[in-house]
Amino acid sequence: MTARTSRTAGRRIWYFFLAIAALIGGAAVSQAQGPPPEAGRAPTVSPVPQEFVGIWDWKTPRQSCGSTVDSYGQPATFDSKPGGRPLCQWPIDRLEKVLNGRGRAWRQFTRNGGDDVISPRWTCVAAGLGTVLTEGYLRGFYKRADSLVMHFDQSNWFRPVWTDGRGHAPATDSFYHGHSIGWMEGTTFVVETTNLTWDPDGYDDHSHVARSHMAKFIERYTLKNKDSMELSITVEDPVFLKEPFTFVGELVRSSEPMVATWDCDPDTSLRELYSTVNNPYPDDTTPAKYE
Amino acid sequence: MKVRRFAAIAVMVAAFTLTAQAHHSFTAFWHTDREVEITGIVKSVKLVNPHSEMLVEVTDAKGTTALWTITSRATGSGILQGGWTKDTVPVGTRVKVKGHPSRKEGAKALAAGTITLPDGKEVCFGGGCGIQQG
Repeated sequence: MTARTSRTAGRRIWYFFLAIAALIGGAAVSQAQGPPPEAGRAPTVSPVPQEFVGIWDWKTPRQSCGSTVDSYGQPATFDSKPGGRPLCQWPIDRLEKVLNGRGRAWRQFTRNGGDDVISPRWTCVAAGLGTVLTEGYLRGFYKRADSLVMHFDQSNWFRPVWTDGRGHAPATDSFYHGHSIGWMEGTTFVVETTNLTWDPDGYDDHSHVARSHMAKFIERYTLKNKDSMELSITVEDPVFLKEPFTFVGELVRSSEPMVATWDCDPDTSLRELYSTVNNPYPDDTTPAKYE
Repeated sequence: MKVRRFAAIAVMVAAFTLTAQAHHSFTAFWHTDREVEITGIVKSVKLVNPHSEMLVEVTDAKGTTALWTITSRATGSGILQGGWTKDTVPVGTRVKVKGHPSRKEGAKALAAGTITLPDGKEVCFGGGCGIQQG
């Protein structure tokens, strides 16, 4: 064996050990990262019990969440008569008390200023989160591997509540209905919603109480039995509220089918608006079309 | 001096009146304390959101016709949930509508309410008559 042949053999052995080391190292890194997740699905870390699945309605009578004033703070009932059934909607008389100066100013601008047209409802924009969560429409809950999907008859809106352990989207991503994640706490399914956009009608599309992009909604669905659960919604909004505000109602399982459509016609809507209110802006020619 | 005092009181009264007007309730849109009844021919029915609409042509004693807008007191989805179809009140039907008049001066618009068909049958177009108000 020559000296040259000996050096070549030495290199080969050295390369062999390098290759073994690389293989061991690669395996170690692969083990630390875990197996690649199934495409499009992350492991469910907070399984939601099957009991939550189904169609839910506000307890009969449908609108029975305890509000005895309408969106304008005036006495009102579901039956439109004194002593009738209470409405299920944000109790504006109590909500008004926790509005800060900005919140009160906005409400005064939109309502007392007569600028109702600024409400998205008149041009068929889907109802905002606050309205959809509380209005007296059916809602269906369905389970997926990575989420609980809530389908609301109000605005026919499908809402994924991510239950796979992911966090919220980056703060730079904002959505009209926000970004929702959920987890179980005992028998309570907790939903946290952030990443919201500004909403001029953040609570009820008649009340004109604004909700900011900094708001956070916490919904707590607590099963009382297989056919009934309590829903409490707490809203924190440092831009418009002095303190958190909580709404509580009771949902019951329903056998009614959902309508699952929300046809909206802006022409019909604007004709209703302009046949009932005066146009406060002389240079706005839109109302002439509907008069 | 008396004139100044009178002017001050007048300003205060005017301010109070404006404030009172500004605080109208849901009735910002409709005179819920008044009822108007019309009879006419249905020209169109739209079962849509946010509120369904019926256009009714009314002919007065002089033969002059006017188109009235009837706004449902329920949402379109509420009406569908309540069992309405496009055939519930067909176009061309003569109907009697009792509803709350618009607050806008001179507007031919009602919020209803109950619709009475030629055979006397009543159907609910939303509100306290059986379909939730929305």
